[in-house]
Amino acid sequence: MSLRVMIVDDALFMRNILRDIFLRAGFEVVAEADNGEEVLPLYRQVAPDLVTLDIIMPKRSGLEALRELMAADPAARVVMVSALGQDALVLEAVDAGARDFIVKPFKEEKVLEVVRRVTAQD
Amino acid sequence: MDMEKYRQLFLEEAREHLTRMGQLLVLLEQAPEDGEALAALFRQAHSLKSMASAMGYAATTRVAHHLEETLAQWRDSGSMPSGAADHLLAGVDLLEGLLEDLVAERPERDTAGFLIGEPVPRATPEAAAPAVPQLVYQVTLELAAETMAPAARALLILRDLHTQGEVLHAQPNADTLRRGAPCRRLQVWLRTPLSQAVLEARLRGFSDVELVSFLDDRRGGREQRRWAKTERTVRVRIDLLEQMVQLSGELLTRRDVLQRAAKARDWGELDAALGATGRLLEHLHHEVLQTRLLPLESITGRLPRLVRDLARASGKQAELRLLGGGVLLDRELLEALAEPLMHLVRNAVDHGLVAGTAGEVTVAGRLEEEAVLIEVGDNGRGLDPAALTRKAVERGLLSAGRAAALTVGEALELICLPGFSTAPAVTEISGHGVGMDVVKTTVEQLGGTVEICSSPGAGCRIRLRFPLLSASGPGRDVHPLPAAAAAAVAAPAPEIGHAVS
Repeated sequence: MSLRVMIVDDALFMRNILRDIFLRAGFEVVAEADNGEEVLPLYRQVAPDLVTLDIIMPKRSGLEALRELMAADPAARVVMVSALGQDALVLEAVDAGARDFIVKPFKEEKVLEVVRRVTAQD
Repeated sequence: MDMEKYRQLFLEEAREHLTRMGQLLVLLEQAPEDGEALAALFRQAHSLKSMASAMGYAATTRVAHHLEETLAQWRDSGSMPSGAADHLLAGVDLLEGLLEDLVAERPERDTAGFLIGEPVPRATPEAAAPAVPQLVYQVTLELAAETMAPAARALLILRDLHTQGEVLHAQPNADTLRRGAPCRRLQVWLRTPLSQAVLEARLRGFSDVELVSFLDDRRGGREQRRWAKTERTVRVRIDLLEQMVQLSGELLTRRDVLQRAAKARDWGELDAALGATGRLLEHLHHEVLQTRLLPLESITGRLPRLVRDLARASGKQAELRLLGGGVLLDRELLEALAEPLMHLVRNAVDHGLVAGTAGEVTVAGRLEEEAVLIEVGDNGRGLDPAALTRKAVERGLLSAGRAAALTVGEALELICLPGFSTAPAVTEISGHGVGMDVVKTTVEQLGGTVEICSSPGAGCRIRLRFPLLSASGPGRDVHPLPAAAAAAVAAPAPEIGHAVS
């Protein structure tokens, strides 16, 4: 069965890039969200295998959404998407339970490598 | 208040309570109306519950509370209902499992089934401790120079390693990493059943990992021991500690005398001061060695339960007698002996004792002039040297000519041959074959010897003998110490040796 991924990013451009990468790799993109508030309800609705979560977003930040998500499902597999220079936020996210992170601008192989390892871990 | 720092102490004391509870329950099975034992059992459960509750371990508290309530009823009624020990022993097992969960830092296991009276699955004594060989690796990882958020990356790797074994030490550690310390290099001491190749592949699978190098700690063992020890605590008697503080103080004074005498080129004074220093050092050495000693009974606590379970499983009658539990032995030696001792007791019940007779197994510690003896004896069927020799020849372990020349003692020692123990026919006839090679190897590695005394129908005695090294201070009692332990202390790590010289 193909991997079911949920993409959360406020920029349509980034969502499209990630979606194309995942589709090319044969994954299924089961949901997309452009703000932190929708993350938990959507996650509950579609129960994806993996979530990519932009670290900075309007309304509720990626970090807040992550904490909410981890509290609701400690087994959730979340990969943070950050920009350069957000080391402190990434560190906080990892500490809060994010399984891994990718830093923009990223290469396709890098994204897939991270996703594959995270989903292979358990 | 941060309770986590009390965790180690909690674990140690909780284990003591559980061992004691197991002993009392076995005792009560024989004498269900022993009021003192009932009261003691209740107190053990109560203490355990209070401790667990203070630590905030919810499941442990619930189970201990359940046991406490049951025991309160028994105590008040003055007797343990027949057949009720099983449920309580299952509770003890469950609590031991919960302690393991705490050690492994995983969530406490489900206890609902036990609390509503479902049987708790319990490993059979035979399968109790399948020792997975664990290795300690010192792994060094280097992250690529262009790594983004290197501290977060290192933290992820460290977290992954936690799932693969026990991280004994990490440099930098998780707390330092959480503070965002810039980090290109991560050094980890990991105890794990994984092979080096598997571990390396796993680590190389992480983004940004540029270099993985290993320093295998198996050979030297010193680092391994050092990290392993920092994780453990040792309880030292206060008077012993004070004695050591006082002695080191005297040594410091002595050093001043030595320095003055050396400066003044006063050879007579120097000689006298050196002599006094030497005596003080011996004295201190002796006191330090004391901190390594524990009574034999610290490892025999589980035997009553083991014998009870084995007797029940095999339908034999078996009584365990523990003698000389106060004999002092080196801490590490005792730890290493716990498993072989269980093995010997298991063999005695399983293969020595005869069904339908009043079986008795004795575990005795004894001090001789130059050795500590630990003896496991039974009044079972005993070993038949002729049958043992015949089997060894049949198994091709011995030529017929050689067999004819064997003394009785040598014939009995055949059970310690590796190939011998696996022969089912032999264990049926003579018993005592299972894993004796392992027992013998372990004992010999610890500097001891194994003696076997037996004859058909007259039971069997297996005696472990550890030579002693007398370590005495001026005007002190002579305290015997296992030579292996003394040797370990007498050859300290280089840095310690340096500090002393």
